[in-house]
Amino acid sequence: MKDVVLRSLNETFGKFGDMLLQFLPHLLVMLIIFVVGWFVAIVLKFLTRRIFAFVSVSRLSKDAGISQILSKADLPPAGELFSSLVFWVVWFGFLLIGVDALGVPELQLEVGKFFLFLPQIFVALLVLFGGLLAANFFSRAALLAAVNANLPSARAISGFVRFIIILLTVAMALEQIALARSTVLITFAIAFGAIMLALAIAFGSGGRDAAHRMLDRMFPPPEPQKEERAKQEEISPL
Amino acid sequence: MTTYGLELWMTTTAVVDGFKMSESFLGPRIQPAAQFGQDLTGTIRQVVGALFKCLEMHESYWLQRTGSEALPTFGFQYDVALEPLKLNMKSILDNFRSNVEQLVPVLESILTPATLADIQKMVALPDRQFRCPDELWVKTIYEFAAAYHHSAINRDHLLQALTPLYRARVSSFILENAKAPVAKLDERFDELGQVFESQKPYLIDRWSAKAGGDR
Repeated sequence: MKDVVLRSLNETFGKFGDMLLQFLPHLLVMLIIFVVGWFVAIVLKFLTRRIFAFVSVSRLSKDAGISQILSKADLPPAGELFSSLVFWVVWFGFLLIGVDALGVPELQLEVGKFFLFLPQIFVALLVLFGGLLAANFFSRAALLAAVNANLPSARAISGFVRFIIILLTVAMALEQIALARSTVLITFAIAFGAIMLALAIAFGSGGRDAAHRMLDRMFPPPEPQKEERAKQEEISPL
Repeated sequence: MTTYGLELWMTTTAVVDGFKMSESFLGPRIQPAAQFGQDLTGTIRQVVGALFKCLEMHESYWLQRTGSEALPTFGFQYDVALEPLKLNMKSILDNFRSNVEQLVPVLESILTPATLADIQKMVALPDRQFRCPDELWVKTIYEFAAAYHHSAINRDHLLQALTPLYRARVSSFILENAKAPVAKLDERFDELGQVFESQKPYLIDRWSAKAGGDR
């Protein structure tokens, strides 16, 4: 009895030792990949930062108002943010390769799926970034045009422009990563249609006088009194 | 380059290249018919845009200069008769107050907090006491010039943001000098020029500072 127990224990520990001996090299490979990945990610982060400095991304992002948004959200400047993103994406990629090196089939399957998905995530992020740039640029342009034309609610007009562009961008980004594709498409179509319908109804029923004033301003009647009044409300540049 | 831009470019290039400079009285400026009715924002974009561009082109010249010299004047000096102008100051000032309030997010990217705070104090002044002091106006223009140089925001947007402030400055000038004779106006322009000159170190400071570094 005692011999059987000892033999069984011996066999169990022997198998465990064999498994450990087989597993340890994989674990070591994984750790090496992690460390190498960390170094590669650091180098790429540094290179990205230099490239961004070279092509004056900070100036471009300031130009488009992205820097203001980032600073308001307590985030680093655009170049720093993107280089950090590169660092984490690259290192995360190496972490997955390391996990893959362990040789666990289920994990390998999931890692494979993730790598297939990676390009779409990148494109979606680019679409979001571009959309944010466009939203800020055009909303500021709308604000300035509305303010200089002395239109009431200039900020509301600017906010509306920003909202529409961001809505469109988010819908495009979600479409890109194929996340609930049909739901996103239908939601966007309904939301966009509802906004336009609401605007049309609001303008038609409540803004009749405003429309009248706008048309009056765009196509002024040639009455001397009106011209005189307009002169009094504006400083001639010449 | 627009007409205004060409004029500014010619003048500044002549100064920088060491041409002999002088002044002459040519009478009232006649504007081409096509320029009448042009909007204020468009004119500011052309004039101030050209001026800031010339500042950038010739920075190596003016950054090292101090002081100014009087120019020799030719021809007969005479006063220009000005036609009386009726302005609805209340409407202009109300528009200015509303415009500044709406433009705060844009002005924050261009002006220093101290200058913006001074402008916001000016917004709160009642109509009769409304004044835009020379020092504040000069600081505002210098900060716009530096922001243009550093591309703090899109340059065209920056120039458009100056329009409401220009309206305020002109309104203040009119309120201050509504009944002043033409000779007095010339004195006021000279005083303003002196403020621009005395505050030049501030412009150099902001111009040479790293973009947004000391805001």
